[in-house]
Amino acid sequence: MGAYRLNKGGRINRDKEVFFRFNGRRLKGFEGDTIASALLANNVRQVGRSFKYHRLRGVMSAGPEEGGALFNVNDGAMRIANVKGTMAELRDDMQVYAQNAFPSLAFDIGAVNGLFAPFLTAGFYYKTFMGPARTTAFWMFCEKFIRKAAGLGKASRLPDPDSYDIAYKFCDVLVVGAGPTGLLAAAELAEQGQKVVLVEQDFEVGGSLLSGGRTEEFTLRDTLLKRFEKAGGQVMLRATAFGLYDGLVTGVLERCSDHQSAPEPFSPREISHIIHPQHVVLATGACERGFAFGNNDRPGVMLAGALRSYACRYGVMAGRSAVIATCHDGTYDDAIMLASLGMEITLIDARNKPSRYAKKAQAAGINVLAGKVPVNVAGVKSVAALEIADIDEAGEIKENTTIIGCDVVGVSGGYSPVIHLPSHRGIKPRWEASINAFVAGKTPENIHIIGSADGIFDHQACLDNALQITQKIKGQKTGVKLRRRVPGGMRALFEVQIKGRKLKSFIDPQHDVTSEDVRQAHREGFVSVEHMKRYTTLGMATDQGRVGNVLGLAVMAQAQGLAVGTTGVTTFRPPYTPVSIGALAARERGRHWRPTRRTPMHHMHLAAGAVMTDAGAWKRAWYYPRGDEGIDEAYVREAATTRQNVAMVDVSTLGKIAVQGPDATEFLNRLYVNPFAKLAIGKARYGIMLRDDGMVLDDGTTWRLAEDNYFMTTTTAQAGPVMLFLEELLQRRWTDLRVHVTSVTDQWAGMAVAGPYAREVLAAEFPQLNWSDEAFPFMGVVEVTHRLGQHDITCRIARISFSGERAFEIYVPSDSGAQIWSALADRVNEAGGCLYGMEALGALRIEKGHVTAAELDGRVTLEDAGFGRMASKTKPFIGSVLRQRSSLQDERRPQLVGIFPKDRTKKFSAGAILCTPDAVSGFGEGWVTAVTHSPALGHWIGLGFVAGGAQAWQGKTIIVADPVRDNFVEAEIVSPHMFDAKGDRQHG
Amino acid sequence: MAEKLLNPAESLARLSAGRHGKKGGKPGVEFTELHGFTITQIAFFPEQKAAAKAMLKRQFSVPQMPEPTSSCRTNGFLCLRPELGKLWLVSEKPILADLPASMNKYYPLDISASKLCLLVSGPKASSLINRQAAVDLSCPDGQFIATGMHHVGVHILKISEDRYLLMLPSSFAESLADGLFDIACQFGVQISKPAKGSIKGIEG
Repeated sequence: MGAYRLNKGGRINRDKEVFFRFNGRRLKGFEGDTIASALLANNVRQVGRSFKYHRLRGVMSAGPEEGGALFNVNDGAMRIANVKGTMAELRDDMQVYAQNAFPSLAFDIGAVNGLFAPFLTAGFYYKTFMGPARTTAFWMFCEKFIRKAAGLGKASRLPDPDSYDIAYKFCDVLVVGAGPTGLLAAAELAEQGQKVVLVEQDFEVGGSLLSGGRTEEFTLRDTLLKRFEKAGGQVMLRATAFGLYDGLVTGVLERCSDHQSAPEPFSPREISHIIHPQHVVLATGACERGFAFGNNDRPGVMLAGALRSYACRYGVMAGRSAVIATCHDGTYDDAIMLASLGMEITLIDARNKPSRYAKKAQAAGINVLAGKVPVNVAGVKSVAALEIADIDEAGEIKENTTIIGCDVVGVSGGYSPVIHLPSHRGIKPRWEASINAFVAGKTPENIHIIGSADGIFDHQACLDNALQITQKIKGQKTGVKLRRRVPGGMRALFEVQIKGRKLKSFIDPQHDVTSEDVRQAHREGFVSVEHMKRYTTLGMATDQGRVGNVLGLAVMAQAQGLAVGTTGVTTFRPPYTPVSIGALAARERGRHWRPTRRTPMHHMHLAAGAVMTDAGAWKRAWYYPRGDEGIDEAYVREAATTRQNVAMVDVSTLGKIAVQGPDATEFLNRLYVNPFAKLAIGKARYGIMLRDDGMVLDDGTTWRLAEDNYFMTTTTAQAGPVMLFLEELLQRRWTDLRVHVTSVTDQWAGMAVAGPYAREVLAAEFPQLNWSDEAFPFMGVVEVTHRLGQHDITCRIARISFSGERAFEIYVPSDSGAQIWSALADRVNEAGGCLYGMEALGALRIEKGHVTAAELDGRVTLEDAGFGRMASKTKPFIGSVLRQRSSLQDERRPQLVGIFPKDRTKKFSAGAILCTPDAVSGFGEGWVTAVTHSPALGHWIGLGFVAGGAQAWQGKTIIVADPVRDNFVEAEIVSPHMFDAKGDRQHG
Repeated sequence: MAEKLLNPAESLARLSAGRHGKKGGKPGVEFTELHGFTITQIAFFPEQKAAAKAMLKRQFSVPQMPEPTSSCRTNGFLCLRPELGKLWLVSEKPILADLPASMNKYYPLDISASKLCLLVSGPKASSLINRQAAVDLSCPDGQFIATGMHHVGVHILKISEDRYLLMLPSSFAESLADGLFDIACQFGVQISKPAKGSIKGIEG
């Protein structure tokens, strides 16, 4: 008894044997097999354990609706969990493991859960772990045991060695599903000249034509495929449309290499295609569903159509003696085909009136019994027999039962159109009584649902429907709307119950949800289907309720005394089938996690031994260690050298914007809080701009190069937002202004030479310029053509200081940046100076109280940052109205301050909270934004914001509270300008 | 005399010239970094459009202004239109210093150093680009597309079905090209030595 391979038939390649291992046991299959078909061919009936009760499970279907044959595939880092054996192609050396069984599939300790089944019903977690006295600690104690005992497959914890891609594709029509309807529609549309992409989740096109077992069906498949390909259509196999999104954007996962024993090096394992079609044709077919009866999850119970698929497509008989239970005519053809291949069959039909196919079935040797339903499966490890009972016209099931010996049970309770994708677009399913199934509601966009996906189950009608849709897309009239129907009619059957008998009847085998769970949810007051779904977990497993949803809703409707379909339906959400995280991340991981920006001097920093750090997307020199120096020694040396001698830093990362046009001055005057109307040519000005709400957006210097030509610099952090803001202002608000703005951040390399001897260093390199204070004052700007070797380089130089020292910023075209940097670095070194990085830059600016994005974090007003006096009183500017709001003018707002530890040997950290000594808790009175050990002052200092500002805290002690690091330091609040407050050094 | 390229940014600095990735058969993609182009931005306001057209013809012998997101080629110039009111003139020689004062009203701006020109060619060129950029490359030849690669704004000139000129922001060029290279390995990729860019060389 048991499953076996037929000697002939099927679409497998019998010339190509494939060897694989299941739980270590070497087995043979053929090319064209799935894991499930190969296991059945080897008479492996038990393939895994269930999610909760650890019941033995077998193959239940032949498609993505599978709830039993889920496997771990591969070893180590390549291990993939929850692989559907019904979809995964067999390949040589494949390692397949049953899931959720320990120590073995046959002897599983977790099976003890079955004994506690009465306690593990719906709502177990809510009742056990929520409520008074059910503490988090209790849950955390239990969690690890529960997680070990329950679940599906185990993902590898090793880094994924595979690569994945995202690809964008554009087409006129995307046809999802390459069954007969989809194939015909695709071929017709392609022949009309449309650019058509046809996606099919299977590894062959054909859909139901592959499983029919008849030559004419294979011929039809081949003919349609040839027509499609000849017309230039593109077929994507192993490609599942997993989501349908706004604007018809469709996510399609293509599995590229899982079926290959030796994948091409460099080829991605999966590609996540983002397809932009003009029309989407959904020919996704329908999914056969079973119905609930006792022990309907035993290995050997499967969908009737799956029995035929295995026989006709894979040449595998799932058993020798079958009972096929149905409630409609569609199953008769399956049974007749199986009988013709040698299966001994008893067909029980829930309908009392014999089917029109009954005689034909009997002629094929099938024992047909009308008015019978399955009650309970006998057998533990697999089907041994089926207990059946009579059902009368009213639907009452008689208590007297009979038993039929069999080794496999086929079940068919009808077909559910696959309507997940329209549901993703928010199209609500509605109950169609004529087919006892949900169909998609009206589709407002260019989404066309055809064939059995639309509830049309007659083969010829499906083909007619395909032709209709091609006419519709062409803009032609489509003729009569085809009727949704099950040929021959059907009896609605969702569950078999006998009064007084408790049956373990599963409706969602993947999550071990029984019909009793649904009734219990109802008894406990769960009226909404959405609540019932979450309480019972019905439809929440990887099969997304394909088989179980309708059954669950029917059981719920019955419990509520309502008609099926009136209880509502849960929403299908993407993905339709599981999508690996790798395919979503694609290349954006590791060193490609995000793109990086390099300044033109990047490789020179590396050559100079710089330790680099990230500043947004930029790679910046952090510090340049000498000898054994660590960061602390290096930055202190660099900062001190800047104060005492001369040093140079790369400032290419600053945002740079060319502002040009006859109204450029007016534009800047409206933008900045301070006046720009009278800025002279050849001068720069520090400016601050606000957002509309009065908060500081950014600061920087703007240089006037000509009457109508400015060079604006922004902070590194806000370069992008400022550019966007300027474009928005010009394109939407101030369309009257004739101004061009162009980001030139990448055009110009920037470097700042700072220190008492900066002028001497630059004078040596640029002898053609007059560097005196009179000729080149603070905020002065010059443009000069500099001869370097054989080359003339345009340089823009401004006397600007971020460090507080006498300093100059030099900008050159970025393709000359490295050469100028190199030349100046030599001059700096000759003068006894050094290069300095971000850390020293930070120390210097903190000493001076100069703000960066750490302070200007979007919550800060002009007054908060100490710039209130810069705001013009004579002109409006962006934010000038809303900054006057009373809450923003409140003197108690946190304001920028300097922070000194009372004990100068103490250290504190950025991010700490500033509290009064008597209330070191909560949000405190302010916070610390930046901290450094000041080389100039010789102790730790900080910048931060505190309520009322420095004046309010004169003579008072504040606590710098850092509970995370358990550091509490007494401090005094001082002016943010902690070094050279008058600015003598930068002006001198 | 205007500046010359001294040390242009490199997109393929990490990579050695030659064949990489998938072996056997012809490479699906070839990368060639083009150096030496001068890119000059010309900007005009809506009311200047007609005058700008005439200026293009007179000054640069560009017979007609390309439509937005399009391009045209003339002797010595490739004229690209990235925005409604902006044109990029790509030339083999610097032009800024030689422009007459009358051109000042078009605010000529040298942006040569801000872009890195990467020629991507081969039968899999469009497949490769569509792994990073969501653009429909079935557009006509000469289309000049502003798009994004890995969230970075880039421009793509479609030269022909299997030849594309990518204009990458120079600061991102190495990182973006590195990403493209990793994807291209599945097709087999040929890295050519950097070449002096020529307008004729980027013709379809």
